[in-house]
Amino acid sequence: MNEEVLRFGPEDGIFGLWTPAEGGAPDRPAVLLLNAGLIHHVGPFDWYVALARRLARQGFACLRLDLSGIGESEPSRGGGSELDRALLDLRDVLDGLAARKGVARFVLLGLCSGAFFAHHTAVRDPRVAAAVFLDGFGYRTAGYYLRHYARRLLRPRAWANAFARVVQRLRATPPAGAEVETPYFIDFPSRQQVGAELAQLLQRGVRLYFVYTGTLAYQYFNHRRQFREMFGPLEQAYPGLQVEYRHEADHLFSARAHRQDLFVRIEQWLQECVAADRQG
Amino acid sequence: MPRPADRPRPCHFTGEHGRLFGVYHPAAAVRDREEGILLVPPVGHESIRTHWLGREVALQVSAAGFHVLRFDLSGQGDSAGAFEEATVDAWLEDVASAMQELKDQSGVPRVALLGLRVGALLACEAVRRETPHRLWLWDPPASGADYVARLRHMQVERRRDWPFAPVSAAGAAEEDLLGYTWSAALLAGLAALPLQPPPRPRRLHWLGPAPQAALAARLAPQARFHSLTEAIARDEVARFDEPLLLGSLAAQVATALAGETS
Repeated sequence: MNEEVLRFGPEDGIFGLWTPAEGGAPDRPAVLLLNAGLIHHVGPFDWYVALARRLARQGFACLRLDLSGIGESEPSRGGGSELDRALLDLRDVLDGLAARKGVARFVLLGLCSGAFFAHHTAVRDPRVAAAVFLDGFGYRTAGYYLRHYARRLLRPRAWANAFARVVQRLRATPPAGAEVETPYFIDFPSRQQVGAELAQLLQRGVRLYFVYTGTLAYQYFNHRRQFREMFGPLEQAYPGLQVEYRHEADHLFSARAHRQDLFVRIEQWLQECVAADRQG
Repeated sequence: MPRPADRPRPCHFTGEHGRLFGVYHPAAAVRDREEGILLVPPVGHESIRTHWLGREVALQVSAAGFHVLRFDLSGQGDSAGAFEEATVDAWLEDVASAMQELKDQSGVPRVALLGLRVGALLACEAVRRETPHRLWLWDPPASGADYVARLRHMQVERRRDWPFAPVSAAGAAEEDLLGYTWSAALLAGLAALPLQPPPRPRRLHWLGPAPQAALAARLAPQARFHSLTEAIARDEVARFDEPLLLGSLAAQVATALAGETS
């Protein structure tokens, strides 16, 4: 498998590693794997590499990339917020792949901050045909609180300990020992805004796959039905939307079995997207 | 940002077990010392945790006039292969391939090894095959056996916060340890690695918090000790997956490396 280093942006400051598809129709979308927080383009425990190579064998070209200031990419010279810079980077990447690889449509896969950037890019760029959001946007609902406190009543000590540790991690301060200012924690837009944007994407025909896990995301999501509580009956209205709650998996899918399950499901979902495109 | 000619250059090169990925940092042209430094990386979760550190050290050291190559071992990062199939012997061959790649890219006659964590154990073994100009051991574990025991301990500890953390039975063919699937063969190979620099290397340097007295006494006749204010090794299970963004530590390491001349 001959992976290729590609650079993007006006000063070639953005790094990406391209895994070409083995077979597959030339008009298939390319899959972009976005940084999970500050983890560089190989992904948590290198699993972006494994996923990219698996998808390539199934006919989907992939690019794992580093946004400005992460991994092998140069720091951004632009101003603005982290979101502004990420959107510029991703526009440069999409433009670059279109020009150099002839890619017309894209699937974005993002975990945590990557999911947030994928969402915002999808909203703005009509070339995004589909997106996978791993522990993306979520909002506590009345149902969330009922479920949370009901569980605490059943296992008070275990849940109190876990909840306290998750809250500690999500405070808006850099990790202990870090000396570099990091964009580690991203502000969520309002639920109403995100809900409206999701509806807009689905109306446009963008296919969306949400996966929530049971550790870090527990801070704001704790049951599959919560998606409807947050955003209304979108699943019923749009077959292109799928939601899963994998409560046994941790935020970065550190267990091999959980990762393998996720990979299989992503592969199936991509094939479903391709099939739906043919019918559409 | 470095001048275009001095910018880091991602590259693929051929190893004994497939394509390896690396990043070559050419020496700043105005200060070229005609000496190379190969960063022998850590393994498993520590390879992710220290990526930023390694890159930062390489940037600073190349600006000081050294040619630097960072690379991924087989089955890790962007190199070919699967971690589940990795072996210590393959990794030692990767180190040899990377040393040659650094010489080929830079044209330098002398290469030093900078081994970080388990990379230091690998570097100690690698020098038995080819003596480098200098050997730097950055925060090595006390031994491979100690490192493996620590991995297992931390994985068990993960169950405090995450009840679904996999914990393998003793003697399992594979073990899920801190995000990576370790084969029994790899764990056995790693556990067999001592922290044992070869006798009379050209130049031996220790980078890290002060070593334990017995180890310091064993290394003292041949080693120079460069004290660092922070350790890479951390037993904070809750944060084991987070990158270490320690600017002052990177600067300390770069200063130590750049301060040594032939």
